[in-house]
Amino acid sequence: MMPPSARGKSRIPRDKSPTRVLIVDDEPLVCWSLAAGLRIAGFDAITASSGVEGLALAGRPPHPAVVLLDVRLSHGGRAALLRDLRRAAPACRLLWLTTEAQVPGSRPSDDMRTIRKPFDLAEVVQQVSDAIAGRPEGDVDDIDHTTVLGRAKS
Amino acid sequence: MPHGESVRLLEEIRYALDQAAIVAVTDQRGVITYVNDKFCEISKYSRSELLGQDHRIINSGYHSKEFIRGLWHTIARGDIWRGELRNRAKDGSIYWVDTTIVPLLNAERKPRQYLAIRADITQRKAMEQQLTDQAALAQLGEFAAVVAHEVRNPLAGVKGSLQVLRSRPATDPDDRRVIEAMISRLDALNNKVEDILRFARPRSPMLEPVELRPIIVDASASAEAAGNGSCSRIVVPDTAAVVRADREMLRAVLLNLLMNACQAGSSDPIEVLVSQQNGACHIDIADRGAGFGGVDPERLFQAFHTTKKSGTGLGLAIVRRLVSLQGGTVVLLAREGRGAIARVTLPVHHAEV
Repeated sequence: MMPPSARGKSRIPRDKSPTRVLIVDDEPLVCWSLAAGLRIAGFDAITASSGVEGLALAGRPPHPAVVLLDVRLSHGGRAALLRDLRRAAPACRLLWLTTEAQVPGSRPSDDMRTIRKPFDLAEVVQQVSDAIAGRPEGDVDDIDHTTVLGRAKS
Repeated sequence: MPHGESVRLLEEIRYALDQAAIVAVTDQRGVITYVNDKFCEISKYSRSELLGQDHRIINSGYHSKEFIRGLWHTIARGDIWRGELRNRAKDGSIYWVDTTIVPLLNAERKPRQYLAIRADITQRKAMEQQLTDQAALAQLGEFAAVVAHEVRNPLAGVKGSLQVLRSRPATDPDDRRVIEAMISRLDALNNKVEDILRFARPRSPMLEPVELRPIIVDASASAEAAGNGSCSRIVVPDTAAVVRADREMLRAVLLNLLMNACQAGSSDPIEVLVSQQNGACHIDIADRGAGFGGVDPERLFQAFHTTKKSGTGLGLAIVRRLVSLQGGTVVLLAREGRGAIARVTLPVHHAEV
């Protein structure tokens, strides 16, 4: 647990338009609760239940600053989905939603940012804020996703 | 061939057979009338202990009634039976034999004797068992991972939604308490899933010197707490033994065995005994419960074999897996008088001088 002062809520400037977060997950309650939790914390949250829908939303301004993406949604085409997402919203940061300790097919050294299901909403808000503020956990762009994803299928 | 010569040839064949195989002869009721040296060697009985005994003296209780009945039906009608049998030696050790039983018939073509020719296949069976176990466990690991995902995904949605409802200012304080309780139940459920995964897909052990006494004290306290007052007292030994083990895995093993002992149905104290022998450390967990009720205790280590009303039937299979990952063994033994002993054997840690 983090100290209350470090909670993401306090980091959102009130005078600017809220930062957009896109949640892509096929479990409706996951989408609903993450969106509601992030809205309470001052974010502008939108949801999609599939990769295709997520891509369409990401391409529309205002582009999301952060995308929360279920690892299982890409159906093995994670590399393609990522590439398209980068095209739709080049500046977005990615957080993987996963039920496992690490993203399947990745190594701990890949340092992919993950939100472990089931999650604690306060911690999710913190992780989203951290992703926007800086990249202390490593840069998602540095990961060679083709290797990561090539192994994911095997 | 002249009579003298054929007798000599028979003698020679018998000599050769005795060199090659484990041989026994029984009468038509199964009473042993002949054994060769190899039979005595593998069964660890002397010839005089075997002659006149029922062949069931080496029965290990492993094979089903149907299997044994099938064997007898075959040979009683004069047919040859071939198969693999698991037998128990005098000292309790188990051996497997590839067996051919040939009925020797009388003038009415009824069996008067049975000639059993066996070959020791214990090693091969052990290797086969190891391969089967590994395959089963790998499958179990995959299965557990799939189940874990299928449970956690909706669990995440429900828990997250409850957190949102809890945080709403309009939520009634009484309702909020109920929501709190629901969230804590979901967390407990998730921990159970985590446990199943931890067991079904164990991590690699981190072997280090582990002082036994504190870990036995700790596991005993947990077992007594889990028993909710129904567990009998656990007597912890005063030992300075240090083994080479994975602390967390060893604790899980001892806790599981102690909880089994608690459920063995006796109010007598459970005794934990530690002894060292030839670089190995035995940890015995001894109860005065009902024992195994004639069941081969090895069967209890098989996954999904359970004698309890509740439980997954994974407990002892997991125990054995965790112990073998640490380079040890675990067996269940009948206790002198009454009850059972679960014996974990682990390498002693030798301090470097």
